[in-house]
Amino acid sequence: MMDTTFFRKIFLFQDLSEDEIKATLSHAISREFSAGEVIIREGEPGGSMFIMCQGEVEITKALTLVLDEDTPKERVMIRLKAEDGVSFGEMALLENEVRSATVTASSHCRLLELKQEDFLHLIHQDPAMGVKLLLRLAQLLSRHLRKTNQDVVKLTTALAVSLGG
Amino acid sequence: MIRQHISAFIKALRRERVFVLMLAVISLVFLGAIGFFITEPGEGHWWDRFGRGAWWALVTLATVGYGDVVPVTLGGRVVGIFVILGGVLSLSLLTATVASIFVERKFRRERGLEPIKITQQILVLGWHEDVEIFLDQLLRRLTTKVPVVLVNKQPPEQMEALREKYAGKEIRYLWGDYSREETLLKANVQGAVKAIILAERHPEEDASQVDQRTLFTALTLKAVHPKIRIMAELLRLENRAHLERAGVEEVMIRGQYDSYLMAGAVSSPGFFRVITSLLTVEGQSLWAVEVPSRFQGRLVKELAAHLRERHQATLVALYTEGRALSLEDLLSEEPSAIDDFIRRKFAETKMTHLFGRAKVECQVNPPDNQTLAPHQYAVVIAAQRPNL
Repeated sequence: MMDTTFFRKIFLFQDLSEDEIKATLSHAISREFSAGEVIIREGEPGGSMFIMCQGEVEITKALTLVLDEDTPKERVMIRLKAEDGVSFGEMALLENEVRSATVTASSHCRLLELKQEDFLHLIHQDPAMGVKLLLRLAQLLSRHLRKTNQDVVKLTTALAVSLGG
Repeated sequence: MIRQHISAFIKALRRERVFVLMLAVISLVFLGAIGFFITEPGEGHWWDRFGRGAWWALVTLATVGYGDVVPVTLGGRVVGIFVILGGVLSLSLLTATVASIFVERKFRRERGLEPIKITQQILVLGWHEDVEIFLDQLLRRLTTKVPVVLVNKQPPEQMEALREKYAGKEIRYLWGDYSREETLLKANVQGAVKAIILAERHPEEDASQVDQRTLFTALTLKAVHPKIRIMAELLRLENRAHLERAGVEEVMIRGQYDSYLMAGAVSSPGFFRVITSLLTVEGQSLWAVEVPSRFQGRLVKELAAHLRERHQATLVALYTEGRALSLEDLLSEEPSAIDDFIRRKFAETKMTHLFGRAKVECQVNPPDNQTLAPHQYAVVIAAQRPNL
């Protein structure tokens, strides 16, 4: 029933064997969202990651802090399609922090939700597979960090240039 | 371009009430036709008679008077008198008005009051006693027919004399205060490629006030047209940083090189003459030419030899008009939220000119064994611009 070649596109699963993917996904719960429904909301606590099976989502994130009501709210928007192998909320697997972006379903979506406790249980159960998963997760985080560092350099340069550097 | 001209002309016609006058003429023809129709006997259908009346009224009004249709009754002749008088009056008014539009435009253009419509022009903002020398040298150095627009408050007669002197070149004149945005817009700054801000000094001003005006002008220019290349002439060296910050590509300090020349002239006789002759277009002079692509990757000495043999030119320096490391280099080509944000913010605040500031890198007396890079320019000494 489950098409593992589809889930092979997900970055987190790229090191896993077919059986391991099946084992991981057996812990996931299938969830459905209709268009316009908010899947996760920025700033709210969350403890699970999502894997997209079908549909399209829109990820928005505040770019600037809201200093007062007059400052325009700058937001970024990215659209993601299930076909491209999309997962989001991976950070919640490692820590109990608030969500860093808002994800809204822009069409009818079918997703798999993997809860943090199930994930931790899974890697304890099968440490060999757990290492592969954690390694991927670490790579994902380091990729995010590198991107963020680049963004900081861009922004500081832009700031320096605009202030007449 | 033609459409613009036509619409401007139609606007002028409307402003001068030419259409009202035309309407008056047409209604006069119409009234004449009715008068003729009523007073004159005739045969045939009413539209035939009316048509004949209209034809007669038009021929009479235009003082053509073919005489193929003539009024014979007293009433018809009275109508004729009115048509003739009205025709002379309204037609002469119409002719005079249309003629005056053309005369006025010519007058306004000569006075520098007409907005500039040409593009790809070089703006020369301001005036001082040395500008004529500058213009003379500039016009001789410009390769193609690049239009030059002078913006200043000099008397129009002087500008007219200049235009007559360089009859073959395209020189336009705009009267006005060049530090004001509306004047610059009238000079079509959006279409200009380069602007030169001269240190124009009014009798009651000191040097810092002049430099201040230069700075304001540079800021206005860059705000209206971020991509324009500006060369500014300053009186005081300490103001240079302000202008560079405003995005001015080249800053000249007036009188900066006089001291070098004097010192050189004192230490070695003849030096002064050599430099002077190199700077002026007459005789052997310095020229900048783009290195042809076939020389890319080849050695400097090959180019130098080619220049010497074929063009009797001596290679003095090489330069590139590269861009300094700028924001544009930093931002990636692929779409990214932060990049878009930075671009948008810069665009919103009209500061895009800070993105890619042109940077000229030059190398005087390049070594023979250096290879030539793409997009390089060669500075040569030659009697005229070598055509590579």
